[in-house]
Amino acid sequence: MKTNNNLDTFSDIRVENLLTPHFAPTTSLSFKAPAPRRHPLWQAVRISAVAAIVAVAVVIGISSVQTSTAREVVERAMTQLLESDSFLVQFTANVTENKNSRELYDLDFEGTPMQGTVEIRKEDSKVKMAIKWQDKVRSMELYDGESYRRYQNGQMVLERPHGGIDLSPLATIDKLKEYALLTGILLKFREEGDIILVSTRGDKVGIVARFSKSEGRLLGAECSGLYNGQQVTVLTIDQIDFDVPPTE
Amino acid sequence: MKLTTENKQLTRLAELMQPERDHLFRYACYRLGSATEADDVVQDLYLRLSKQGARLSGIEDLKGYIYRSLTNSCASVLRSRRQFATTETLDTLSSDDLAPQDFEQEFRLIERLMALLPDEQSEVIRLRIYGGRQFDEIASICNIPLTTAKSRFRYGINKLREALEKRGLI
Repeated sequence: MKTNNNLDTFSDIRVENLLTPHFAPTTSLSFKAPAPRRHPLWQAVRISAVAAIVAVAVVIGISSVQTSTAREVVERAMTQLLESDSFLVQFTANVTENKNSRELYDLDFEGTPMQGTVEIRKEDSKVKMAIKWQDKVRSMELYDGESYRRYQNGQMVLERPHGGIDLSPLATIDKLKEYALLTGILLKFREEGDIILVSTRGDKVGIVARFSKSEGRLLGAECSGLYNGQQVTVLTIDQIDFDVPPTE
Repeated sequence: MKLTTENKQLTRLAELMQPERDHLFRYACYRLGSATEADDVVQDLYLRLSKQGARLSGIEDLKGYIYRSLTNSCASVLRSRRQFATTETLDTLSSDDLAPQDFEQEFRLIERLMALLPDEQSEVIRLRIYGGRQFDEIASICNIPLTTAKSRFRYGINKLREALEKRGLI
């Protein structure tokens, strides 16, 4: 009887060994306490995140590479993005004016469509970003690496210190994922046949950029979310240009 | 003040999830059979929990809550694709299948073994082996007494042993 028990024990160990993972994949996920939700630069982060993610998708389209995985394609695209001196994203967004004056506009399902651009430029080891809105007062938000300045009709109406824009989250997918988590965004890279999807899902809206590997071009990019039971688009990327000359 | 409380809770969440990330990910991997989906589920879990902000302070056993939420998330993903799932039985299992060479083969083997067990037993085994949980933690996650957690594990292993012995596989 004792022998049988010993045999059972030995067999149990074999069973547990069969169940024990020997080929477990590893993860690069990293969790850090996120910045406060009402961070004054939240809107800028969101807009720049849109620009960056869509830019990644566009570069992937331009490169039209023959690589085996979506990850390789995206990694290569990100390298190209970082090597580009500048890029300009033209977008149309449904926005409402932000009530807390530190931010200019919020993406809003019930907002008014407004065109704008995000221009990111690398100069003297600093990253500068300008968000220009085609509103009645020609608003512009400028991050010059040292301060945030807001202009209306060419006149500066607000200035405060700002540490600058950091493009290092775009260095690798892992860094981008970590950054996305910090800013409350779920970031996914998917390959479905010829289509690669770079998508996010945040608090309110998701971003999806679709492009064809074989055609080597962006098929479309937009931000949308469910509102009153319907899928509503709140931001559409109209065009992206790289290495553009500085705009005024 | 509200932000301070919220930040405190988000820090607590991040500090709990960071050291657990491998176990959380591995549990999801061996539940879903896909590293990509496991990655998404764990990220999504973190974001959903972080949205609770200051309300997390009302959860005493946050680690247990995280694992309970993860098991629910995985079950939800599986439910959504259940109609396409096919589980092979042990009858076609060969001795070669017992020596998997990669994650996919290993997952298929484990799935076939787990399919023999009632859900409550397989869940305890998964939390123990893939989630790396102690039995008292499993008891808390599954809301069962400690002795029940241990016996479910033991009964599950016994059942698998008997099934494999019957087929001459061990």
